[in-house]
Amino acid sequence: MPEEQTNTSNITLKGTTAVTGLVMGVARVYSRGNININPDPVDEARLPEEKTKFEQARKAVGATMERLSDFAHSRNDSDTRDILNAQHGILNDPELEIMVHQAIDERSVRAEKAIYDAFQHYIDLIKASEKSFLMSRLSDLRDVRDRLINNVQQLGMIASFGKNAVMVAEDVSPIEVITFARNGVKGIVCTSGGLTSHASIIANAMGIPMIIDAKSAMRTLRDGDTIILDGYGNVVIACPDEEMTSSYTRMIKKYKEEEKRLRHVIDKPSETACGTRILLQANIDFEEEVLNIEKYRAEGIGLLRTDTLLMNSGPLTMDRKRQEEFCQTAFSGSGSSQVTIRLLDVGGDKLLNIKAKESNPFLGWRGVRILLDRRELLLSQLEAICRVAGRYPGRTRILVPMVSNLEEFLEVKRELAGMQKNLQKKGVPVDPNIVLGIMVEVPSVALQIRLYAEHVDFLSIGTNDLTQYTLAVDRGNSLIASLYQPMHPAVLTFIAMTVNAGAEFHVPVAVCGELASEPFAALVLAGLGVRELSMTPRLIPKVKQALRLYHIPEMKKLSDAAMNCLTTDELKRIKSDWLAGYKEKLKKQQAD
Amino acid sequence: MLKKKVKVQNSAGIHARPASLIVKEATRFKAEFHIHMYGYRINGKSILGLLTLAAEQGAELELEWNGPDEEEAMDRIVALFNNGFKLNED
Repeated sequence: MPEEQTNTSNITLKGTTAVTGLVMGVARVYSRGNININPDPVDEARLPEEKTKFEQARKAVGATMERLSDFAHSRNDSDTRDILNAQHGILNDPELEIMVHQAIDERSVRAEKAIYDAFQHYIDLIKASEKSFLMSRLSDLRDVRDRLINNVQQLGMIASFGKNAVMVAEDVSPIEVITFARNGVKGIVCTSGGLTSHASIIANAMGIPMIIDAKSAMRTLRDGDTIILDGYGNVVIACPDEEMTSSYTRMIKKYKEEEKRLRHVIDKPSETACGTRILLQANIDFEEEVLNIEKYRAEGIGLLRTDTLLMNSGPLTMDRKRQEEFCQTAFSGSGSSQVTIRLLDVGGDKLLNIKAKESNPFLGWRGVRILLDRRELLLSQLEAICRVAGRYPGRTRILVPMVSNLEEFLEVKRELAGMQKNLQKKGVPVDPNIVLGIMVEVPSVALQIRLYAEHVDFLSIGTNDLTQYTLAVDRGNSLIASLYQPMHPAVLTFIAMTVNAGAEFHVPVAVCGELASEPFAALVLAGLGVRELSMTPRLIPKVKQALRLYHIPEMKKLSDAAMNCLTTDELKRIKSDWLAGYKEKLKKQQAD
Repeated sequence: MLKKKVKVQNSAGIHARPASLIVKEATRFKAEFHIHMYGYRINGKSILGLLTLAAEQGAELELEWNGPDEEEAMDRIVALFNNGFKLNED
């Protein structure tokens, strides 16, 4: 039946590449929300594992609830908070715990079944009371039950996928991406999502190719299908026939060879063709990534995101010891170079998993705004940083996120000085030369950049947020993804202003947004006068390769042209002209 | 061991919020805490147990503590019942 075969092979879905790469694997459809309880008993040997699953699920669900409750509190929403507090009580109910453990031990059932039965016991009792004031609470009970079971099943599901899995999902959270990475998942396909959502930033950091906006993926792709995720062609191909498979196998080989070629650039100095030094630093989210600093020869850390620490320690409370360990790992993994630690930048879409609760989260309670309201959080961060900085003098930069007025910076500066003094009194060695800078991401700051440049020790431009705030384009909204233009002349103008103010006040200026990691954009930035770029380490060789082939005046020409673009098409043309020339240069270099 | 009889004062009965207040207060103490109602005995540190009591306004409960800090625990929890579970957070 050859005809039928053509119908069911080479099923092609269009999407948008969030993380480039090309992989072939097995589709694993990943969905949350539908509860199917497996009632079958399991082997005796697996029972402890089932108990661990229950404990882990309880922790994870508890963390989410606390985050939600905190959020409700911040909005004076006491009804929601009451419900969440009660649910939290249910989650940690000692009798529930006993009952679940007993069911696992005595009936050898899975955690999901044990949880379901324990809740059913209480639901039946409450129903039997026939008291109407309790009936409305049953939905809260079921909600806790379903969250727990979902979590237990996910943990089991992800672990069972194996090394060849390409996840197919509606949408993934940053926490899920990390779980995928830890379980060796090869690629991710999502039906929704924006390019610079935190989940894709993490997928990028972990080097997992990802395609988003593949609208019909959940309907079209079946669990177990062979699947090709082509991040270069923005497509997903399911059930490839022999021809397709062999052509992609060749392509995968080709890309592997290109990667090899880039490896030659790794040890070359990071400078332009005319010998101007460009500092290429690493953006680091996780301890696991620290090894990449050495691997790709990043010259220090331009952005150490501390937000990810929240994921393990729960909502808006951070264990100081954990923070110290994280900073310690960062310092010891980056030779004798600089380490730029950004204070907590939670809020918005970042890890709080409560999208759309604030009606305008990106303009809401986030970054330094949270830190100044929750002073204990700021102090614990500063203490952790200062303690580690004392062990590595002369290397620490602290970056304050989401500053929108000068007082915020001055207040953090005051707290930092106070913390240093306190520690010194206690006899803890401190580094008096810690430098303090701000993220330039709010347009008002960029407009008045000279005012800030006079007070700060350095400036770091976050192009993702600067773009979305300048252009009024939500960077997570796929409906307007085409309007998100980080190289819009208005954004470039702000960057140029920042560079000029930096030069005037002798303050270093870095770019740590996604933009810095794109070769063309990196040249434009260097043309504007930026001399420090920070990016995901694995993208450094590609950027370095481009920087090494051009002279500063050529880059200046590119940036002038980009600044004067009237339309998006014009920018696209400039970029494609450049790309053609670049390819020629690369070919010539290879031939030499 | 200490025992004390109380009546549910508030009109809404022991629904989710009062139950979580009781648990929150009770778990601060080392003393074991049980509640008897119509021959039914539950762990007072279990919110699910409290809900299954389905105690309405006027219901009579016998509270029972057993442990080193039972006196203070009794004072705090009885106060909670007597003021109808009004928020009295420190």
